Order: sequence, then C-alpha cells, then structure tokens
Amino acid sequence: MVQTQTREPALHSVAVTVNGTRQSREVEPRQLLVYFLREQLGLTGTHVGCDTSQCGACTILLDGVAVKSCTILAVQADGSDIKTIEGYAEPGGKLHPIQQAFWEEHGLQCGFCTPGMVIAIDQLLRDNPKPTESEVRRALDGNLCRCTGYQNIVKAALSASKKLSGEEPFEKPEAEAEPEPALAGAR
Amino acid sequence: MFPAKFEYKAAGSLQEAVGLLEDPEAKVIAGGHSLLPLMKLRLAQPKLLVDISRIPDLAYIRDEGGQLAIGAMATYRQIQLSE
Repeated sequence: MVQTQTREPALHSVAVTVNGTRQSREVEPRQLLVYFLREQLGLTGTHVGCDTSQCGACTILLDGVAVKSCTILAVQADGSDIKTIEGYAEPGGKLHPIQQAFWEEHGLQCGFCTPGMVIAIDQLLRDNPKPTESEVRRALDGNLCRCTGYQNIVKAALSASKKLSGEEPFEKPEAEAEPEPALAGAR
Repeated sequence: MFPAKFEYKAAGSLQEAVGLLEDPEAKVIAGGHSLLPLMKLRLAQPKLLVDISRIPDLAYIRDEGGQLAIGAMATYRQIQLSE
C-alpha cells in the first residue's frame, strides 16, 4: 500500500481591524500574530525582541487589552480589533500624548522597546489614570529596556498621565534657557 | 521562531472541545504563553491545537462553597485584580 503523504494543515482566513482598517489574509495555523502584522501587513513598528513573551517589545492592543503578540497565533486573533504603535500618532503626524511625553522626557534611547512601552503605558493609564511611580514600575514589569533607560520611561509615563488628564499642556513649555556658562578664553 | 506545523480548531463549546481532545495528539491552547514557547523550541509538537478561548464563560473566578474555582480562560491579570 502506498504511504499517504502528511497532509498540509489547512490555511485559515483571518479578518481583523488594524488601526481602524479592515484587513484579511490567509494564514498557516502556526503564523504568529506579530509576524502576521510585520510581514503580512507590513506594520513593522511592532518589534520582536525575545520571541518568548518576556520582553514586551511586541506588545499590541487586542480588543483593547495589551498583549504580547509573539505568543498569540494569528488565527486566534480572527475577528478582533487590533491597535499597534502605528495607530497612535494622528495621520498628520501629531504625536499621541504618551509619545509626546516620551519625546520630552527622553524616554527612549535605542527605541527598540518603545512601541511596547507606549502600549503598556496606554493600558496602565486607561486602568489607572493617576498612577504613582511604583504603580508605573509595576505596570511595566513585563517590558524590558536593554538600554536600561527605565528612569525616563517612568518619568514619561507620569508626564503622559498629566497630559491626558489636562493637568499639563500637551507640549511642555520651553524651560527658561539657562545662560551658557561663559568659557574662559571663549571667542 | 516558528512552531512545527499543526492543525488548528477553535472549539465553540465545551462538548466540542472534549470531542476534539479525544485525539491523543491534540493539545488545548488557551492563552498559549506556556505552550507556544515550548512549541517554538519544538519541545512540544502537537498535531492539533484545540483553542478554547472562544468558548463562552470560561473566564470565571468564583467562590463555590468555600472553594475557589478558577476558569480555564481566567488570566493571571484577572486573578491579580480579583477580590
């Protein structure tokens, strides 16, 4: 009797809304959501860091909840509403208040962890609009920054909280420029 | 990293999931944060994944006469925030 070949798993069709746009693709069951976003939809703002759901670089919002997209199958996301970092700034380029806070507080160094950080902070501030510093640190325990720039990330989260509540303006007013110290022998 | 190939079925009910799990090479997937890393390392290579995340009402945490019952789809986050 002829041996039957192993059957290829059937493709599944996945229809999702990503940053407000309907998208539908055929995927293998083993396609991970992060690669679906990056390679099939071309949304490369979502990063693959550790690929083992520890570092949080791949964090996205799935039906409004921050999740690590490297450990979710694309098929599992069928029918869901997804928001990635590309969905944060306005179409004209105006930053989201969390992004603005990162910019002002120097909350990024290499920037690799930033998309996941922004989304984790978005989740935090929707659950708890006025977090304390220790609540911010706890909320970011699933997001690693290998530049170890946590201090300014925490400052950015606290600043974003004030921007979102209207306690601080969207743009930080320019600090009074410190006069340049006169250098001995300067021209 | 990618897991080895497998078939995927999303169960619509507990009965359907139990039926699909008759297959000895099937495994349950819920959140997937334990199983998928094992599958990426090829330490697990199930032929069929039965997704229980679409079965309604499995995300409970409730007191059942002095015993705490935690549903298969309750997340750590829900447990952490639960009273």
